[in-house]
Amino acid sequence: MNYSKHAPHALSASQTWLDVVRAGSRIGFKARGPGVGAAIFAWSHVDPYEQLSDAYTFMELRRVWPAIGDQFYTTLRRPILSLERDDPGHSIDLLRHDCWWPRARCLDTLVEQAKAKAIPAPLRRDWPYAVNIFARTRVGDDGDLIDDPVGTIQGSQIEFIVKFDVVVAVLAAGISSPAIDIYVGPGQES
Amino acid sequence: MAEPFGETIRIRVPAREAVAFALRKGYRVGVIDLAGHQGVDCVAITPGGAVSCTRTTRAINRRLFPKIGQSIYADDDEAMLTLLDDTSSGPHGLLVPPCDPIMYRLRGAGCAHPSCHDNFHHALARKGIRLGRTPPSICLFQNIEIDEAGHIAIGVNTSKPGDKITFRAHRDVVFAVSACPNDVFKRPPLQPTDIEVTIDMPQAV
Repeated sequence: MNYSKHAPHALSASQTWLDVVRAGSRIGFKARGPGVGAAIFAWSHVDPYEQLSDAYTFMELRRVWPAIGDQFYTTLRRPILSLERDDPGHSIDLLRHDCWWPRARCLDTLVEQAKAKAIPAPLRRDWPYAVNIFARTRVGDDGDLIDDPVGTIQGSQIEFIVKFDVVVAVLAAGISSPAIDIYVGPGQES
Repeated sequence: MAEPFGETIRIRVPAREAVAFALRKGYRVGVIDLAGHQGVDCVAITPGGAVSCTRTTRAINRRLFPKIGQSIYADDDEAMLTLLDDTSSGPHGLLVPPCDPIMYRLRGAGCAHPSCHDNFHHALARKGIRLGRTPPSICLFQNIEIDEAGHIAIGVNTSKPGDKITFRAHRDVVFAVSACPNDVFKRPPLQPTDIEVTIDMPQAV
């Protein structure tokens, strides 16, 4: 697919991105090197309290590691994203959330960003939790959760199709991790 | 040395209903499955508005459910309740949300079906607490398992009559407990049943 009309936005480590992504659009993430990661938050553009949720995705999907073609669900049990591409494989982590920053600092930044762009967002205390990409957690014996490194390389991509108009917020991982490119297309980006 | 506890308060929660009550720091709370096979959904909220968080609990403990001595954490990353004892064989769940009217509608039971979601909001409202979102609940006695391929299976609960799980409050909280009304996934003749909550208050010194 040609995204030339929608230039990717390069997000360096610890930077944030927040915007409206329209129904039917494709949102993708491309690693500029190994060791990248990002935390994604998403909610309905018309109802910030309808949010991308690990718990509702687990309930509806009945799997902990989503695969291509799987849908992610909101707190109203409605599909919000579908997974279209996952180069490393099983690299969307719903089991543990990681924002690298304390949640309060992460939300301070994203709330200000939403306010500055006049994008509807939930009250700070009602923000959703992140879903991590280019990350994986394995379930060990007796219910232990174990890091399972993802073989991300330069150029590895993850893509979702957005099912209705949503707000997507992204926090890039770490301090010295390579940048991650975010691209939206071929639909409209506000 | 055993901690000195004084008065014990017992609260019977009818099947399909919920109660919310205040726990002070240091109180012990027990949840008893009186008849067996009954699921119990719980959430906790501090006076400052921190809410029990299944994701934070999984992340900090690095486990699907706390072991004895580990805690349930709030969305401010602070411990709320420490698991002291569990007479059931488990498992318990921190993965899926409480049942709600949408779930019952989607599964053909109608959206008027009682739910833990509505139970929480009604019980907390009676304590003057209103939440903008419904937090995923601590699902006690829930028979939820993940196989090697990552498939999630939720079966009939295996808890026996009288099984009890006990926590100690790490901070002041309002604790809401719902005797899960879910009769959609249960096999006849299993129906929702009453539960009991015990609250042990430390002896005054």
